[in-house]
Amino acid sequence: MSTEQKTRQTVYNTTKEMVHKIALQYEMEFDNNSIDLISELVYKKIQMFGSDLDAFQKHAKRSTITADDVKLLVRNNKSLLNIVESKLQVLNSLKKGEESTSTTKRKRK
Amino acid sequence: MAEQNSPLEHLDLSFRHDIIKEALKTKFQNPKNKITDDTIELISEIAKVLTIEATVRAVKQAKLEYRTKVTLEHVEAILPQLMLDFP
Repeated sequence: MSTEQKTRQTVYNTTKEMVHKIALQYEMEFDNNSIDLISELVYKKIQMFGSDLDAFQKHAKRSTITADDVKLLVRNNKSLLNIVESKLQVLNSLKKGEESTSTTKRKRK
Repeated sequence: MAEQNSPLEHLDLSFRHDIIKEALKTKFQNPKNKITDDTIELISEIAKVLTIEATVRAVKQAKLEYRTKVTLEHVEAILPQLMLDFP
């Protein structure tokens, strides 16, 4: 199997697992076709995010994709933007925490 | 979205970061372009939200028809709005 096929398969499996877990919460069954459709949708959407982000960073004359590009990607969906921003805050606060602990360690030395 | 937020916190699964990175890179014009770790984390979160939304909406669609099994038609019925809601 090529890397792309492996990637696709792994995304499929993860999606499948998630769908099963959620279905359990709602006491619903999913037939295989519907799970395959959702998996394909998720994989295709990730690919689309990839090409969009690539275009964004090129337009900004960068060669690295940053969190700002993701914010631009989700600008049309307010609640998704909220989720992204709160997640980003958590990530940043985690980083700050690490930095402060590392500086204290350095001071101790 | 408020109701869908509970499965988001409830679900402890997530997409593997190396896999997300590979999937994003399939459409790159220059495969040497870099992606920050934050981006991967965020895209993984968005993919998770997308999966949850698709699933929960399909469940609701099936429940409207008093079914206990979600079939292809239910997912197809929720697809147009889902495609508009996600970038």
